Amino acid sequence: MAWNHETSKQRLSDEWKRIESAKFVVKKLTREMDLNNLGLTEARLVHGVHAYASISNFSTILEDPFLRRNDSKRLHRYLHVVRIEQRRIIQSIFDGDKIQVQGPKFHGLLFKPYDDDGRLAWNSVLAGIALHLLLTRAVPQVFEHYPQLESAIGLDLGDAIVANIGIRGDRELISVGSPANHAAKILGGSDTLTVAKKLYDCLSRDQGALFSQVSDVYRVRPDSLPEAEDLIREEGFVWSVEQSANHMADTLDQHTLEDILIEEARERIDPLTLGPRRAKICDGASIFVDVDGYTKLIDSLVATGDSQKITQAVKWLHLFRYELRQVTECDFDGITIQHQGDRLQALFHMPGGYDTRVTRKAIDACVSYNSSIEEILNSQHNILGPMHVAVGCAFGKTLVSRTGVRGDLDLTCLGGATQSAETMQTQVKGNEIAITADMYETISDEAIKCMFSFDSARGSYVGSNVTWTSMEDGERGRKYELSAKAAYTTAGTIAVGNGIPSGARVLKATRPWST
Amino acid sequence: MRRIPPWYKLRPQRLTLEREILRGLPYFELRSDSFDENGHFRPTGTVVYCGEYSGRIERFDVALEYLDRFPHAFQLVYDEQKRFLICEGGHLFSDHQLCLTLLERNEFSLGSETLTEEVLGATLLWFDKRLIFERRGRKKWPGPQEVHGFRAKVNFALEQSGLLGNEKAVEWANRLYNQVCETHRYIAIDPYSPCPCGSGKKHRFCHGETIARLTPILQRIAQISSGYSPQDRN
Repeated sequence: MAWNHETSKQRLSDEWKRIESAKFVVKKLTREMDLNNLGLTEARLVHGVHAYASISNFSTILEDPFLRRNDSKRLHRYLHVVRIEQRRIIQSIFDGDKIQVQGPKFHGLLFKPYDDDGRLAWNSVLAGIALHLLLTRAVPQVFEHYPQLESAIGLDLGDAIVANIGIRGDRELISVGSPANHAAKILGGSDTLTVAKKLYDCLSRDQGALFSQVSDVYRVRPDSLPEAEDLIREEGFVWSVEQSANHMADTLDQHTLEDILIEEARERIDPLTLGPRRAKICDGASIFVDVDGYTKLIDSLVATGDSQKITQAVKWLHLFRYELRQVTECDFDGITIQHQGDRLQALFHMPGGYDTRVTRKAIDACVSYNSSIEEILNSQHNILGPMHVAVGCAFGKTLVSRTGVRGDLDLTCLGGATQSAETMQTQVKGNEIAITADMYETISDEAIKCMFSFDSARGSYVGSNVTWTSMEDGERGRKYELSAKAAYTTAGTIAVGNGIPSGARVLKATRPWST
Repeated sequence: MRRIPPWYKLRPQRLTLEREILRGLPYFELRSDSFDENGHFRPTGTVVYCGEYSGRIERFDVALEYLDRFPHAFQLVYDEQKRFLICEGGHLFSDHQLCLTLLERNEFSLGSETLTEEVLGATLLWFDKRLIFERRGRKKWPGPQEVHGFRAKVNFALEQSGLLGNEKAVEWANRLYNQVCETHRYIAIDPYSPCPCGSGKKHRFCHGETIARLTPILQRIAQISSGYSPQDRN
């Protein structure tokens, strides 16, 4: 089982025909529509506020000995209860929608009231305050002896494309566009609420006076706001810290530690079997694959309002998502954890107990992702111009679970390796792959190894333009320089070297000349 | 003057053998094996191989031209679909013929039954190298290659005399080559001049065979007075 150029080309061609024939529509979100019943061939252009609520001390939480006891059961339950309440606040209180839970981050979207950016901006600030108070005030009431969660909120207003890529009732919303990215990028330190300039400009003078400018964003410490809870109630939102604490207490009662089963993964994890009461722990390699420049492209298309090109861009995203999923699951028997906008998160943990084989497989998968994009999508389906992916990969102990409510569970990976892989991915550019030093050491194939070099600035091994073809070119090119003989093997490949195996057909290596 | 009949009329059994060889080679898919308007046997087909890591199948359509002196002259191989650009360092003649080898090197077993397999094997490797050359941005040919033009023949003559590594001898040969290119005239090498290897002996009594090797090459350069001559290929 491995990536193959011809197979990849064929399946992409078949999928493209299917996508082309399907009636694909990208429409503006209006009052009559909602995001709940979004079909696979539909996408919505949503004008709204993207809210990211991040646990800023997530790394500390992951390493906390109390939470890690009993196979991290407390950690799993802790995050599960918090995620459900965050979802409830966004959906039930502020009439928005949950997009995704991405490790430490909760991504929500607020789009009501329509056509009133002033109200929408202020409501989103209030939602941000509620999400902050949830972590800092309500959670400690319910989880008294647990380590305190620290919160950072980021908000940005603008147009983004929302599509549903989940299948069989397993909803998976993705959002692509600069507000979705920017809201995550402007997240400040602990206990801060940060808003982008575009959103700030929509606030009234009194509302804006709460914020102070920090470079090109505006920030407030919600704890410093007098009676922050009252601000929310005054606008007619029926929410309080007490109410959230009660909800969480109810959820907690339904999830006793005895009910939760967390096992070591002995066979390939089936995400559909995971849930609030069942999770798996494994030694696995986490990979993040992000399309470089796609968000900018979408922004430019949204700005021009070219609906045909926007539709093409969404089609390409579906093709990209399809191929990455195929590489992960069909070529390398891995698990697609999440599609986060134009980014994919994957996990490789099989064969269990053979760490070196897992890391090699993960590195092969990284090269294959890049090969699919560089050699096939860019040459055969170059509808948006050349696109490149940035890949980050790290290996370590990972807790795989699904949190949320029935029908809307988010598959998440928790662990230091996942955090490292994400950080490394954000540090590299398109057409680059970053792997940890430990993973680099496990590479036995010199042809792959020589494609990576240590980047001291980033603290990882980085390979540029690493595809299977470039690897072949590099390896054979080197051997052509050194070796005088070449052998054609029965497998149909060209093998270059001095040791010609028996039964191989010898090819005549000449010195080309030209006038 | 009576024209010598082509090879396939003189040895029809060799034509049958050639057809069998072309059909039997695992890295060559024969498409047609007919004769062209000049009466040359000109089979066409596809050279094919698979990438070891990528599993990528590479195909290259070629046409072989059997010369009248076959099998004492190897087949000319053409890029049939004109897939590759004619560019510096790309080892393609202006008529899309592959520059497989310098004739003087005798890299192919002329006259033998393995000649076609050798030529197609060399074609396969040429194709693989050309793909690498293309993907490297047409900057560097992978593996050994001859220098361009008649200088390759001069270098080969020096190589045969064991003088290619000798800086003084190379400089001397370059001077001769440049002189012939500029004046379009060949002035005979004095066999009693000091040997270019720097031994202090007279040329005739040291590396005298170099003169015999270089003289026809330099005369030819002088004759055609520029770097390219289609007749010179064979």
